[in-house]
Amino acid sequence: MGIGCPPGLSGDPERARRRLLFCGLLPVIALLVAGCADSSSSDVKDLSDPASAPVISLTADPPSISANDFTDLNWSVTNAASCEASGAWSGRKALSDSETVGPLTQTSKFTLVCNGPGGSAAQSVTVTVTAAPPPPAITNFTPTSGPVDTTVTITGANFSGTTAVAFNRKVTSFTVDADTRIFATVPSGATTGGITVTTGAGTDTSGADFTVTTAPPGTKAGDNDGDGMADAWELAIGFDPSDGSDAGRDTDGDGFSNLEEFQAGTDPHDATDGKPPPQSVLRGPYLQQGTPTSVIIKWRTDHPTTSGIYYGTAADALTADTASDTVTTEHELLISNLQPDTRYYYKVGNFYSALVSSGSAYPFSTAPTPGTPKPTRIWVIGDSGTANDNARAVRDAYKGYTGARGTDLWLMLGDNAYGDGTDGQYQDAVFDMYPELLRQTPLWSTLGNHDGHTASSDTQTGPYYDIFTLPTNAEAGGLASGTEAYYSFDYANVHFICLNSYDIDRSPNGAMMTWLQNDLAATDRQWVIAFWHHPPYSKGSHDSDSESALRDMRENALPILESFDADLVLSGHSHSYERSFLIDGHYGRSDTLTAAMIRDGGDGRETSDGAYDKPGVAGIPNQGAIYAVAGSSGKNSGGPLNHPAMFISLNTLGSMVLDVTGNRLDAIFLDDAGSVQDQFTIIKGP
Amino acid sequence: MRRVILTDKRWRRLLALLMAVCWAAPVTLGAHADVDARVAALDRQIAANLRNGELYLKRAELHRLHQDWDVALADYQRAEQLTPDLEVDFYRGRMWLDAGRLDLAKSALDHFLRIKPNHANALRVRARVLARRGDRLAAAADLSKALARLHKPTPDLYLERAQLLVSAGSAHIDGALRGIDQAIARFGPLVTLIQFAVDVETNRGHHMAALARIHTLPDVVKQLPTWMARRGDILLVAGHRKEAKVAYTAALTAIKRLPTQRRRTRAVVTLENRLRLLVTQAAY
Repeated sequence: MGIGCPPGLSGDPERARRRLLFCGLLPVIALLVAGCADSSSSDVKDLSDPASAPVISLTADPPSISANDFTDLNWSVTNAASCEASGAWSGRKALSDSETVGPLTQTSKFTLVCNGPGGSAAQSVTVTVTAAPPPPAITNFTPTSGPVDTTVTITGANFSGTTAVAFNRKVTSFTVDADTRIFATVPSGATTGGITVTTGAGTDTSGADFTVTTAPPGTKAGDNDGDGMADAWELAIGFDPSDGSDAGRDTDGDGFSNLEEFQAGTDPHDATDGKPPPQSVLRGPYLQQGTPTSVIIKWRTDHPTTSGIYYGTAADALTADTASDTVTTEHELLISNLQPDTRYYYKVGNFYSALVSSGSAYPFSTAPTPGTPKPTRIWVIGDSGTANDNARAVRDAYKGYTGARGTDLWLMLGDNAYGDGTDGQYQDAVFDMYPELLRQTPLWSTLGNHDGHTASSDTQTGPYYDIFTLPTNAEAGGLASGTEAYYSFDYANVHFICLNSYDIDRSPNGAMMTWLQNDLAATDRQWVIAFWHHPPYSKGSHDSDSESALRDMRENALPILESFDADLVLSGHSHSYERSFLIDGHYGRSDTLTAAMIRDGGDGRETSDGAYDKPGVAGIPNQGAIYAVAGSSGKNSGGPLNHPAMFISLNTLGSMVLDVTGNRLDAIFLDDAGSVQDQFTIIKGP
Repeated sequence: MRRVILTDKRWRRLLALLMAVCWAAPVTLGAHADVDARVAALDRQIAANLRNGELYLKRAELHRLHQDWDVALADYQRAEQLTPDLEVDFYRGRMWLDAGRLDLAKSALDHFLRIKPNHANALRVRARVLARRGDRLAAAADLSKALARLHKPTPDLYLERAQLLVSAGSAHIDGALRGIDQAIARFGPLVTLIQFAVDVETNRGHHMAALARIHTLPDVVKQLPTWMARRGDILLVAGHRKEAKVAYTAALTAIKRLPTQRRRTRAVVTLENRLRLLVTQAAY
């Protein structure tokens, strides 16, 4: 191996060849670098000149900070052999480097003393620490009540640099108009309570509560002067939101009134923008975060416009609506105050009407009241993002199987859009693949490694996090995680847990596992189903004995899940179907599985070995769980398929269908031709 | 016990050959095959467009996922030569972090951040480099800067910073807890944040502060048997034996109120047994 050659992996001849080629080049590179060093040899001679004293450049970036903040010191020194720090820092320093210092509580002087053949020199930089800015102070807000989307003016002091505004802890969008005034919008899901303003200097909560009211059907929130133009829009384009007469004016003289421009999403100050063409829906609509009383509906239009949803309990009587004045192509609205376990119909549109192009009203059903043992059908697909005939066949097989029964919710186990989870790939693999189901049934997803190529769970950015609106604050049950990367929700008597096995800390004491422990302790649902992308047991196209993400989830998540008697764990990643016996306590490599870990070694079928029975007998605190890899909904990639924990392993395209009814869970693996290739039943005790 | 291994009918005739290939191939054949196919596709695109730096960067990222550091590095360099504004030093730094070459990672990210000091992702990645080098305070400082610049920071990042500060020594514990309080102000009383604060306060012997933290948990969490028991544990260590017994007894009562099925889980049974011992055997 050449100088500085990175440590490599063994086994792949092509990679070894590339590595050898690279390492063979390294000595050449090293010689070139050495040559560059030689070219500066005259500088070295200058250094030895006894007449040349050290020259120090020392700067702070930024030179002025607030109390308890940090700054970077950067320095470079010539004509010196060594440097020592003094003042607010200490120790021997390199001749050229940078260092972050802080947190500083007072103005500090940093000195660098350097010695060389020509003598010594010192250079200092003073970092000015200003007193921490005063915390925000709310003195008043108006109006004091209103429905979601109401624009609230908050007055007070020290609002510059506001980082968050919340209504009863529900964070919302806001505009800092001045140090003394903020415009904030009552967010979806907000409840009556105090308004909180947070800056870097602290947080203040209003003394009085803001009362969140329900908007009567047919009325629009956030239009205090009642002129049909939303307050936020009026503020944004310089109109007076308390002047009801400006809607009829034509400010730019282009022949369209300000109200028409608002409805069309055009600029009322620009006479050249004309009237836009009719809107078309390019994506969706699709349902997110379905709960007993609410659902989020998202869609994309070809032109920016305001958003509206028109809905009701009959397709020809959409008597209620909810709307937003924000002009966008990426629409997202929450419908709240719905009745549990009720069928609704809806159309999407803009602030004023449904889009003509949206066609007939789409149906959806709200979830039943949590804990209610309603028969529930769940469709599960994994690694489905191929956007090809494989995925279409799996989809159509399920469509044929479920028929008029319909689907209550569906899960995507990650790698939803190959190869990188880009927005365009999501359009092909998800939105163009499952348009009907997306419109009618809430979809819940976990992040796969391919989705993660263009998304970051740390920053909650990328197409995956733009497309999905997942719970962060227990909006659909469970415990708040504060992140969409891992979350839980309830449907009927089932508690679903979604974990992230790709780009989140998977360690036993990390945030996700801490949350998992508490979330499981808090649920009293009868069934617990967990899902994530990387399978804890697999010998398919991935090997759970050798790959770290798979091993981490097995070693760290499974003991917690099993200690709370989880029933079913679903994952993908391996492009196959692998389904375990009823097992418990198997956290090691595949060759450590013992007979004692297999709670039931039968097939789980009532017609042969019998269903898996979890009677909940006192003294037998854990009855085992079933682990299924369902990663063949878009492609099948083979592999040894011989994990000893698995009852069955199939190199076949397909999906899983779960039916939960009371204390009974029936599961099947449905292949791409519509045949049932595996089935099992779990029966739980009281 | 029965086990079934089936294969698709279309592949039955090729079974023997396929099995031979599977056994001979690396264990991550599927993953690597996928990356290899995408590299091959990019090879073709690059061959048709030799001056497109973005294509080289895409291929470099695939080589990074494949842990082919040397080939990735060559593609990064080529991408940078062709398109200097591709932020290659960021990607290069991330690759060196993956490869465990921390000095090289820091150097690349330092260079990148000198040009783009507000790049939140680069700050976040450099924080992890610094943390693995043992420079916890500098790592925490980078995370602070990243948090200030992120549109949707996560509670996990706040926790990561707090963990760095706590591990940097007792002088930084107050700073760590201030950071946790910032996160609580932003996200609400998440159990992950409060449990961390409770652990920190308990470990440094600030038992009353730990109890005060527990009090801020949402009711649904505070009333869980596990948290009632935790409260008892802290009271016991703090010398408040009678109050500890009351807390343990309340936890036992809460367990009795759980649905039968949840009460019989291993976690709850273990907790119940421990509480019974504490209530009956401890000297109060």
